[in-house]
Amino acid sequence: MKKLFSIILLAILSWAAIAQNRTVTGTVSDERGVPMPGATLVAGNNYAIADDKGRFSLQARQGEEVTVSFLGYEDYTFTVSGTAAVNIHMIPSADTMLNESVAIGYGKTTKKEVTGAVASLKTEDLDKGSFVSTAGMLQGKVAGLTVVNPDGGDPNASFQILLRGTNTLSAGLGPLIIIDGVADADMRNINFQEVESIDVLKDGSASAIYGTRGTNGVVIITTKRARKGATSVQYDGQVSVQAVQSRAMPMTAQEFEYTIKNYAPGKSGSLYGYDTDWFKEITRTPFSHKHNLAVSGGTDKFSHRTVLNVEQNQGLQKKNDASKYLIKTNITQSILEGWLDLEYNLGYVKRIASPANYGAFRQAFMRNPTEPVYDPDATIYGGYFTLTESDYTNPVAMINEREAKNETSTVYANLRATLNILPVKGLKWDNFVNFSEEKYSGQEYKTAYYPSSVGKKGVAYVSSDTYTDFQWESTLQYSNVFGDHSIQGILGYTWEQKMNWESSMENYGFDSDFYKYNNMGSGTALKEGLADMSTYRSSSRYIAFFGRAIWNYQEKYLASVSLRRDGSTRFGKDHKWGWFPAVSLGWRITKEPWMENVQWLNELKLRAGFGVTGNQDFANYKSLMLMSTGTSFYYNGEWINSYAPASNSNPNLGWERKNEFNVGVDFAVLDNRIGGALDFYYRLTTDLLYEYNVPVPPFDYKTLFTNVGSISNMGIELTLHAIPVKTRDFMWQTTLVAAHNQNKLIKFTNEEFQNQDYEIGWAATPVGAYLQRLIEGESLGSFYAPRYSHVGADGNDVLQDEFMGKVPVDKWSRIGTAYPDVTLGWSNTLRYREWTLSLSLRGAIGGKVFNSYRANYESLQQIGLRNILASWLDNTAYTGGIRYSDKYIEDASYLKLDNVSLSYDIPFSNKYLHGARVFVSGQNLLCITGYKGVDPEVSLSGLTPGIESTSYYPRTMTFTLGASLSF
Amino acid sequence: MVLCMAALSACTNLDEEIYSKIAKENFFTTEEQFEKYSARAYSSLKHGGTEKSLWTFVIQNTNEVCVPVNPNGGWWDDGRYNEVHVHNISYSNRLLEMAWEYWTNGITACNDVIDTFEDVEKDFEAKHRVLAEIKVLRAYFFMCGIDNWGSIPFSISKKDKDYPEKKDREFVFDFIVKEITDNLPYLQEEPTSEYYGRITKGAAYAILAKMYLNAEKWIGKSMWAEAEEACKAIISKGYYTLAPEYKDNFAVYNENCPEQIFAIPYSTVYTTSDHHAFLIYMSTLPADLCRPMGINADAWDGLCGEPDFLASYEPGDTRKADTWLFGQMYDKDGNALEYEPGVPYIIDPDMPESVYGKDSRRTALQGARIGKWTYQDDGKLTGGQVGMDNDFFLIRYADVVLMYVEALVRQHKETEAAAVPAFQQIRTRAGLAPMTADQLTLENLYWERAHELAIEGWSRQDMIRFDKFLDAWWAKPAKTDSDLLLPIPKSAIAANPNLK
Repeated sequence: MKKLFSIILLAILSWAAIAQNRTVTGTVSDERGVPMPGATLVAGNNYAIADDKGRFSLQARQGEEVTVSFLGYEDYTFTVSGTAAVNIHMIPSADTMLNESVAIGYGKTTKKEVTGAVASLKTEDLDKGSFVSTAGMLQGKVAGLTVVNPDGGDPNASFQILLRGTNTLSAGLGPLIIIDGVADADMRNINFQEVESIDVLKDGSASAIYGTRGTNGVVIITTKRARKGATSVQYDGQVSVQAVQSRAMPMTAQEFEYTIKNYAPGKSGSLYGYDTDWFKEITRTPFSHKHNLAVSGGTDKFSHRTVLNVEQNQGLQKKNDASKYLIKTNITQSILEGWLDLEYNLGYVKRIASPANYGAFRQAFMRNPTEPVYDPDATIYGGYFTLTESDYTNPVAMINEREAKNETSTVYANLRATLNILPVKGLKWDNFVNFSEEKYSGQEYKTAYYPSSVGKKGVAYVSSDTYTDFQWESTLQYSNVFGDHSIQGILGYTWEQKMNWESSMENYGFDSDFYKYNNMGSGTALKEGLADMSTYRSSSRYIAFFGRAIWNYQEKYLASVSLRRDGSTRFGKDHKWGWFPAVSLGWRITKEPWMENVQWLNELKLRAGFGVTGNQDFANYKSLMLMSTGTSFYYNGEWINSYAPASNSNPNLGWERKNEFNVGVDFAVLDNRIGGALDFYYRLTTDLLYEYNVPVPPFDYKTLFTNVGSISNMGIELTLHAIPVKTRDFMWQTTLVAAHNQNKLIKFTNEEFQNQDYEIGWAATPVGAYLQRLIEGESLGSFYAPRYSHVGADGNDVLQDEFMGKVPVDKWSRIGTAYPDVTLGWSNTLRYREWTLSLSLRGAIGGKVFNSYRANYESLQQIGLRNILASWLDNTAYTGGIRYSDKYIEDASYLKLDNVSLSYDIPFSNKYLHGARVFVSGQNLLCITGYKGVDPEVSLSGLTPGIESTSYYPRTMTFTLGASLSF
Repeated sequence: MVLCMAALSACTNLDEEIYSKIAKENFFTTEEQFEKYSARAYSSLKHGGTEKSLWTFVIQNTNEVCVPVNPNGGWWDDGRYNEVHVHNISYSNRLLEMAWEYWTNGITACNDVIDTFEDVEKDFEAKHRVLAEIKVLRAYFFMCGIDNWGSIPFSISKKDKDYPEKKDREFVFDFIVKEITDNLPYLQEEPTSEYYGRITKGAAYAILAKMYLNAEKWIGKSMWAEAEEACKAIISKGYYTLAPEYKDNFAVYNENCPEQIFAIPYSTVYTTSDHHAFLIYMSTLPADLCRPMGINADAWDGLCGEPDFLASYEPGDTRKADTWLFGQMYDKDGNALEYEPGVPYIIDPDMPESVYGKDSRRTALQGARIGKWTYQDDGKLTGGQVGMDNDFFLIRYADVVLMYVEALVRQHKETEAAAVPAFQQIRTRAGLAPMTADQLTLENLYWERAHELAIEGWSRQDMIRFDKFLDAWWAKPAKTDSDLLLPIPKSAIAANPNLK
């Protein structure tokens, strides 16, 4: 009876308690918005644990404090008020940041243990918006990594990546890209929304484990993987529009007419009386949309993540499009009671591009604006107004009368099988095989009225290429902790084979434009022997053995040693294999007992490393003396092929070798509110490859590709993170990256190869000058020009040191180098409750750029048939022709507002919809610069950096509206 | 164990596999392949067909062709064309480099073929003949070298891996003469169609004649009698005759012309690409003349006839209009063209010197264009990669006849010279009166050669031989003796320190 009473009393009390309480619901997610199952919420005596999707339901009184906690994250406390669902974003604690994993190639370590110069980016570090390639997300985010898009608003733009300066004369400049373990992968084949982390191995000690592919750094991209738990569905969608941000401005029809009438009356024959905006005729307002659907879930034993991605992007130029269709799945499986872990990736990506006609932008610029677009009488030109002059074609016809489409399909499949040798703790044998195949098919048709081929009756071109790549990587890995000693070791072997097969054909003389490229055989040129056909196949193989040992004592003294033996078919037969050693050391001073009392300093680590890497990014077969078919010869009454050498043999051809020394310091102060890294490096690249002139005879061919020169790059890099404001509701995180690099060409010639051409960067008529010189002891990209003085009485530019109307080449001055002194990136995230505002700026200080549009089109002498830059009107005293001088080499400093985005987490959650977020973003909004051309940020790759191209794509700004929904 | 070794070697095998080119050691398997390999040497003559060769260098370096900046501002190109014409050539001039590469590549190709043949132990029928042909061809390339540069790097085998040393003109002169004389017996005598485009006895004697004719200027030794003999060796056989019409030599399909002695065969189909095609139409024609003329291209509008040269023709000389395009322009159907509505398309061959220079331009209607090789109007010419079908006669019978006459006149046998029937036929074919023995002065003979062989590539040595080269003409000032040799290009010196 007593017992029964107790139960009743308890029930009544409980009821009373319930009467006072209410149910608080919501979700807990981490800083990236990923649900945090297992997070605990405590309100007085009540508690709740977040479920698979981070959802919770907790009994609490109005006004009661609720504390949310999760291991590795800072506790979060809120007060119960209102009835709305509560969505909680947890912030990682500083200790967690130090424990964040960092990919170092063939393995992982943690931020606190890493000893090389490695930059590690997570999703939240990357901008929101619309990207045509994942490479675009790296702009301004990593100190020392320059990512340039010379193609502006082209949806098929390709990015150029340059790490710590130019370290080569003629081999490749791009870093090795590794995506989910697949080396030399293509960033266009993943969806930027699926990126989970990007790690950049910057110095030699970090990248030496990649041997002859390590010189330009290694970018390791990890995409989102399978996760165990109930099935979750994530949808990300966005729409965007673009508008012109910057372009070369020609004169309008009124300005053109005014200029001719007042300054060049002799050319009034070029006034046709129309008013045509040629740029407008070939452009549109581009609209794009992207959708990504990801499904994931599973158990400890089996889980998957499957992604479906559809993108359709329009370019500014009419008919210029790019679309992408991607489906991939990642499956993880554990079998044999933990002995064997399996991971599969299967993917298919189709990219369809209608490439832009860059020449049409240039023609639209220089086309006379008083000409009409059409002329009904010009029947042989298809009704387009036409003046037959060389390099002067109707841009509207160039767009309308051309049909071009490229399709690239990539399939890839890989399997990672990890055998955990359970009896020995920490020992496993990992095998990874990947097969990928890319099929490219290009089609182009120029109709009977395409300007430069009028008379050829339609020109059709198709090409089809297949690239296959097979990789096998086998590693034995061991890691364990023995008391104060923690060790990690790896021994590995890798084998990679690439095969290319390329084919193309061209024909013309079609009866009708109807066929386009779909009935190639019907063109008459084939019968007349004027069609073209070619196929080409090549293959290369790459083999390496490698090992690495990482040791630390009490997480205080750190060391890493690696060695790689690397070989490639590309090297000469006497020089197939090379050694690539590296060593790096670290000392976490804050772990010393005598530092325990220094409260303001949370982390201080010194790092030093040395590593040897190589560059083998050059064409196949460069070490062999090969014969190719030369011209035909009439012999014994028939035309026969002649054969001639196409290259010299060079049995000593090897990789470019880079030795790099790096010292750095990682620090965190003031309760981890400010932290960062400072690195100094010196890299010396020797055995640089270049095509040298050699005498014929005795050589078979007039150039020899061989290892001669050397280049050094020296620089300093700073990364600074800070959290200036951190309250419950409002947090401001900011990251500044800055880098300075000094490039120097140390040696370009030797005893055998002397007096090579040092003048490079030829700018054709009307400039007619070499813009840059290769001089030992100076930086690459050094501009040389006569100094501009003033406009003379006759309207011509007067130059300093002129003699007989010329400035001798040896009197030209060094104007500066194309490379900036300092590159900067500044990213900010401001979070107020459900609102997040992010802001990214990027800039460069110093550096020169050659303004090609001014140098080609800012002269009264050029007006008439062609249009010129409207900016000529700013200085009408200058009536002369173009004379190359430093007037055209301008300062390239700039500050760009790359990205502004605002997102809102909708505090709404129910059984079906667990989270929703919307965002708006604007990209490439503003560029503050003194440069008078299109964009001071031009290609910095290759031997002639800093030269703006006249065949360009205008810069655009992009406005995006996006939504993310999780179910 | 064996399996293990095999697996291990596969794991470290880095041999390259080649698919689309061929390593030389795999190339020669049959005699026919050997014989055809000699085509490599002959095909190096093809560089003579583009705007980038010794041939186009020579015609611009003499009084024949000039390249003023065109109305669109094209063709200044750092002054490279100007330098060549006014004889102010920098050693880094690109045209100079290409002229040099023409004959040095030729020698390399010949050396390679000769070495390859000499390495074959087996004696097969074609071996000696082909060897002789290629050795004489190499002698021709050496002649190009000493003609223009004097002392030149000398290498006759590519097995000699040292950088070639420079040899003086006399040494190379003697080598060329000996080489041709030694190999003459092995060469084909009758120029049958199988030997079209190849070195025959006729071609070898003609090269020899040119050597002897220039000996006085090159090595200070008069060899007029030897020149006479060499020409006579060709003339006396009777294999060659003058074509009925001057233009037959330059027709689109001229391979059956009886006047050709050594031809570079070209084809619209087989000799394409910038480096191998005969592209003179692209270099000279204005874009707006192309389509009316049946050429589907936008030509580059560069090379023009030098005004003084155009003015030097005797009245009535039909070769002027047969060589140059000037006056009223016509479409392929013979209709007169208009430049602009109401303005007839009339090209004035005369240009003031003031149009010449970096900041000057000629107008669209100034400057005669090269029209010597008949332009095919069948629409097959479609731009900078597609060359003309006209074969280029490096040596033709009229040249040999004129050399013969010159050798006689130099030996004061004017009467004998005036009696050479083929010589007078050259005059009458051009619509001119025969020349009497009194008229056979060196001055008249020079202009006869200049007009008959205009822009065929021999004018530089001819002008030097007739003491005309250092004179002033049009925009080119008078020069001194040092101008008789060209500088060795910078790229060649860079590649071979022995040439410094």
